[in-house]
Amino acid sequence: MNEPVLELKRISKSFSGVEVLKDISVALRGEGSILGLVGENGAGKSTMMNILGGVLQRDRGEILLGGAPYNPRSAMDADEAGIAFIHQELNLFSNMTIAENLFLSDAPGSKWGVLSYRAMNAAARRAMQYVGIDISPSTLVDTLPMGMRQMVEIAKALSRKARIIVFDEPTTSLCTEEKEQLFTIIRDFSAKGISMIYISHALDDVLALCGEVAVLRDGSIIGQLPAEKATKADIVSMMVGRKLDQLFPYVPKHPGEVLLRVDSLCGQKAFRDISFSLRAGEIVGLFGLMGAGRSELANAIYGIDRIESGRIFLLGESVRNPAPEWWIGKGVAYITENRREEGLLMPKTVKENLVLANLRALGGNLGAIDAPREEKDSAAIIDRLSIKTFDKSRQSAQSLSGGNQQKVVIGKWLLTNPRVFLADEPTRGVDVGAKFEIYSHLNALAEDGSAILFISSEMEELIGVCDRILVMSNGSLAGELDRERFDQKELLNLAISRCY
Amino acid sequence: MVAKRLSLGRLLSGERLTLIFFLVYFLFSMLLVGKFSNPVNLTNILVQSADLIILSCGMTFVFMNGGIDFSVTAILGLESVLGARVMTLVGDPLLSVFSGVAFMLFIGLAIGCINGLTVTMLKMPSFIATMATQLIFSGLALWYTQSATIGGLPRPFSYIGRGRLIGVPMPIVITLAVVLATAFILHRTVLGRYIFAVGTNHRTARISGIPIKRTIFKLFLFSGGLSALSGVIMTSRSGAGMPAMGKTMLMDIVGAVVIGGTSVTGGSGSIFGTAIGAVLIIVLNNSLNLLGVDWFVINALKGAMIVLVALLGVLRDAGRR
Repeated sequence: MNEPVLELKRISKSFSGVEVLKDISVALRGEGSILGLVGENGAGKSTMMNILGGVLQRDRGEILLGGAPYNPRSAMDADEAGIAFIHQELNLFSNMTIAENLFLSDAPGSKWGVLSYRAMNAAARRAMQYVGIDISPSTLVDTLPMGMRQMVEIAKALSRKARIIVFDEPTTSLCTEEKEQLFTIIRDFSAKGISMIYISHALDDVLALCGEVAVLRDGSIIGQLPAEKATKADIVSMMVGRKLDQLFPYVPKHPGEVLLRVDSLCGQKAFRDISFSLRAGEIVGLFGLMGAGRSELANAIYGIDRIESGRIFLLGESVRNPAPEWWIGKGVAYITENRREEGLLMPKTVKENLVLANLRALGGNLGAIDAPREEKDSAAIIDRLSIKTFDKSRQSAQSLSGGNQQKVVIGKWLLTNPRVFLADEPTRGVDVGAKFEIYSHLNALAEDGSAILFISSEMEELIGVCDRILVMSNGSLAGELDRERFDQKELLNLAISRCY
Repeated sequence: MVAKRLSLGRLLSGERLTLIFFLVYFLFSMLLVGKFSNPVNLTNILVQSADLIILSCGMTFVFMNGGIDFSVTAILGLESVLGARVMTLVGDPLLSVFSGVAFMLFIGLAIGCINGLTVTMLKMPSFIATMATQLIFSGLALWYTQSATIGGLPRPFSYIGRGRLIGVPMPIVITLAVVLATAFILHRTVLGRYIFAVGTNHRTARISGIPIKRTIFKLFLFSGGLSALSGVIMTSRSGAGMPAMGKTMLMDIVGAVVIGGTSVTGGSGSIFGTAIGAVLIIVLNNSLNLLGVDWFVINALKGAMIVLVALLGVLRDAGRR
């Protein structure tokens, strides 16, 4: 075997003391080789690719590109080194033409900053033909189907003279036919000597396409093995093979009446035909891979995104046109996934954030805020959740630690006295200690008769605290496991069952 | 901790800087500009500030959501001429004043309503929506009067702009009431919290059950209503309906709000800051005028001051982080 095209040697990276990559060593062997990269959400794939792309800087280790040291400081460096990235979310301007997108920088034939559309269009047509598509280069990207857009992105990578192309979940938005077309092109590139890294949850595709597969788990490479020797089962067990090393405070519960029921709910595109129910006093997990449609489902139930069809029942009564204000009045809370964008007013004080969802109840004469009650309510929650803040009336939410921020989000909802919680990744970006506290609070709420939908992409925590787990795959409900049947492999199999 | 200093600091947190700037400038003017410290001149400053303060308070509401309201000067002109016309048509003096003022306030609220609906329902940026209403209604005012003023207003009407209440000029009394009321609404009520929340982060506010559209709509009602109130005082003081009334004030209004420390992107600001900003602009005008500085140069200096205060604000925020 000849010299590796790209080699990562003992790469480590930490974010504020948490090591997300530990001594990663992986190699892309030989021109035209394809390396599959698999791992759970949060295993470190994105961090690894960001280091390769110059978006993040490694703490330790070295990268060799064709045997020479490669130290990208920015995305521009990666581009110049001939490494291109095809992301899940495409980086195209949909209001521009194919040619304009292809040559955003370095337009062919341009002089003094004046574009030559003739030269650009001719070059764009050649680039598109190279990926097997004959289309007018002045077509607006807006009018192209997803698969075609991806081809534009690939053509763009090629026009930048890429020697290595990294595909990050390229098939999630493609139909079967488009996918076949993509694979044909990938094989064709391989034959032409372009090397690729292929990241995907669709293990069948990875095994079919790649020469080798590297498995990443918890920031470490578990193994890099030839694809022909690996089976899907091997890889799944490599991806999850770990013991539960954290403590989860599971409490057996006695589910009561059905509080919330969802019947054949379809979203605009992220999910379809979802039915489930939540009973008083139970914690129901909702597992799925990135892009499975979990957050979109919660958003739609809460009335933030539109519902295409299907029905929602609260205590047996059909809910029409749900909206956050309405749900809050009915005792349904939504702990959102993204604290910064959806959960908190970052520059505002802890106190202001805590009473945010319950302001209506604080209104007195002339709509004046009942300041003593505001003080009392917020103090009670800070005490109950042991939120660490030096002064709740002065400290802004953004200056709290991640765990305390998350507690403020939870506290905000506790003040509305809810009986149903939709909790989307309530422990994301929170340290182990705070996680444990959050699980305990969720348990206490369930014991008091609340129903909790616990959305997470961490299997361990779902297995640790839930009574049953629903699994979503590619927008639909792939299955449900009771506590006796909880099993990481089974969960992961269900989660990828509809990825094709 | 030092409780007293803290509470005062909190009251003025965002606008402390403007206040200090104002006090320094005021002190220098008192000492260095000849006729500035004359009581007549000082009263004059306060009366002149009244219009700008009320208008700027209204603008502060729209700024809280990162928007702007260009239509305020159109409201002034249109209500001035239409209100004057109503007053000249009604015979009984008191009834005519009452119906005229009511009609003027109605016009402000109606235009605010149009702005609010365009922004919330048609999802148009306030920049465009209010620029359109500004052009439409100021055009309407000029067309209706063919640029002429409407005089012959009933005598009792002049009390609003020129009268005194226990020795204090009425415009100052009204302005004080407006500042206290709007400060109360913005800083002490549920609606005020809604406004801050919506201005800080739409999505968080929405998920927390805050009625976003209704809140934004109200911002334009405040702006329109307060413009109308200011227009009543101005019309009363000038004693005639004027189609181009307050035409040149827009930059001073925006200047006062910005100098007062209200964020252009929304989510933070204060009524007291705006009020100080407005008085500062008037003091600047007045003192430079007394020094015989050319009007065009005064404008240039105002621009420089806005940049200076904004820069200090940026530095302060950078230091805080």
